[in-house]
Amino acid sequence: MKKQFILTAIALLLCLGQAKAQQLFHYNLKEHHIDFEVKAGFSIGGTSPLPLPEEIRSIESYNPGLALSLGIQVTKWFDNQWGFSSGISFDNKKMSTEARVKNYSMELIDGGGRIKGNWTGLVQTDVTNSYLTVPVMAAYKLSSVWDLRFGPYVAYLMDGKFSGHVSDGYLRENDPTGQKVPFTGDATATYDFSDNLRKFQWGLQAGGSWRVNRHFRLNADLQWGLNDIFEKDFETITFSMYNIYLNLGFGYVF
Amino acid sequence: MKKFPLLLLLSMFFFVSCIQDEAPNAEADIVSCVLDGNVLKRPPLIENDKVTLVVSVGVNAANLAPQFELTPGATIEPPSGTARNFTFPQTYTVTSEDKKWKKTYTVTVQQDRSILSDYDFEGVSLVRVENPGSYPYHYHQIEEVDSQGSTTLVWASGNSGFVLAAKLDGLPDDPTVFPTCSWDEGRTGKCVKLVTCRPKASAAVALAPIAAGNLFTGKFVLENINEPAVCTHFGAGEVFPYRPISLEGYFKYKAGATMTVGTPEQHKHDTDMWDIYAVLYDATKATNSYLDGYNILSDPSIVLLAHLPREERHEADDWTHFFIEFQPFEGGTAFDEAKMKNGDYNLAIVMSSSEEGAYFNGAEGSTLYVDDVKLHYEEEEGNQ
Repeated sequence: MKKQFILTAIALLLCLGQAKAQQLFHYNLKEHHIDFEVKAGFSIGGTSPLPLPEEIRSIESYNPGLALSLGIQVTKWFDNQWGFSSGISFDNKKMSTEARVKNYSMELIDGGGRIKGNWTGLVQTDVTNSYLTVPVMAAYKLSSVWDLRFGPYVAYLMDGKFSGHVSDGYLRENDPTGQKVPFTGDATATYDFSDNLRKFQWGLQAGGSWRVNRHFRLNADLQWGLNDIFEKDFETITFSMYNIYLNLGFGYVF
Repeated sequence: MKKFPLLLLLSMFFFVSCIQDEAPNAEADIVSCVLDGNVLKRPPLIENDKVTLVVSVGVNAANLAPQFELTPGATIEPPSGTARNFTFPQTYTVTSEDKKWKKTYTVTVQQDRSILSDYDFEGVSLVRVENPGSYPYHYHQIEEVDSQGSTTLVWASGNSGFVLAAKLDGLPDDPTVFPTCSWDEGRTGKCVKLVTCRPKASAAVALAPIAAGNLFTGKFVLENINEPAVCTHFGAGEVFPYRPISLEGYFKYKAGATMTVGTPEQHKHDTDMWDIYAVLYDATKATNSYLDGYNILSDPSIVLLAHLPREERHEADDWTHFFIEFQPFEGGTAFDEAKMKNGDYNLAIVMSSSEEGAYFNGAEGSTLYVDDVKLHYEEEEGNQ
């Protein structure tokens, strides 16, 4: 039985267009009370300290960018209400923000050396992280059209970028009494903390789906990171930052 | 999908509503300083931990009560307005509003200083720059010392601005990697060595594609990291109540091979060349009472200029003599003896390893040595 199931799955992947195989796959899944869903969507949210530290005085701009995600989700229903949901997805988590900060610990790293100090002025931050995410969730059928799910997830950083630049302000070298290094006009300096990003992330995910018809569903999933996105020994950013993203998209259920 | 803009709004609200109350200031700066009774001859010269007050002749420096404006919320000890004896430098401690940071300032009153005519670059002190997590940096500060060993002049240079490039490049802790340093093999004793440097790290290059070695009378104040021309306050506070006649000295020079042009519109020559000039200007007419890299050779406040012509500057392996006469400056201000005696004029002496260095044009490795500079001036009517 199991073998047949896997073979059918492979057949499906090989000739996705073949309605017959698809139908067969569909009936097999149905027999086992399994929802097999291919999901696509985009994420919107922030990589942010919680709460915002006193160093951040204002958010001048925020741009979520286009962060696409693609994945599969498998839900095994135990009864008419409860089930277990898991899967794997490739998630992009992106944002660009510009914040005005005061006395913000900063380190410009480049070439062979670094400049540390306290920055007052504008900080542009660009985050583009790609994760492989595996959630492990309880699923609950609210009605014939609504499903809910909740549980932890783990994510592995495939490719990460956390960088940006500072402008329109000044650095106090080393500490607030150090030499003032003003950056005015179009003077900027870059920073890049990409190498200090933590590879493993975990957090909680809560989501819901609305069944449009037998195959199509609209999905919303909130992923709330619970560990710092930076490595433990990274001290330049003095506060922890967390991934908090809402993924919106649709799914095709076989 | 109707929900989407609402969610966006909600999330924005979430972030904005979380802005916390502003923390008390952590800085402990003297922002400005005033003295009662119009005794300041020039605006106060404020550096990160130093204040220089240039006062009029006849002012009793033994009893002055400067008042300070500080970073909001900061306090100063002894308090602002305390009368103190400024015949020698006094120290003040500023404490930040959050009480976590303290900075000690040295306040010097400059008055009736004997005017130097010989500059032999024999004095040098090491300035230490902390570099947390790594070794500290030291650079040279070049000084003139009298026969009693006391410092009579501190030359200004861009070294404090180069510290960032040095750190980003991970350069070793060696004062001779800085564009301006003291050199033991002078014509007599020590001399000054100026080298045009080219940072390697990309951020350092973005800030300053080249850094020419420079040495001048006045103050270097880091006002903008990528605009060195505004940081060089040529002749700031250098009151000169005499009529200068000529400037002479000795140099050695070797131009670097390849020009780096950071500002094409200010680029005039394909080979690098050193430069030296002395400028007497009317500080009461100059913006901010000093001249900077943009106007030092063009400002209408210039009274007399001694600029070694380009054809007399050249490469030289051995010590070579130069001599320049002060000339009235066309388009400048006519010499006025009354203004001179009143102490309205400042004198700036400037030298650089790359003549277009203020605009980031220069060749890496251009090296200038200067020694035994002499300034001739009329001390009294008819007495040279």
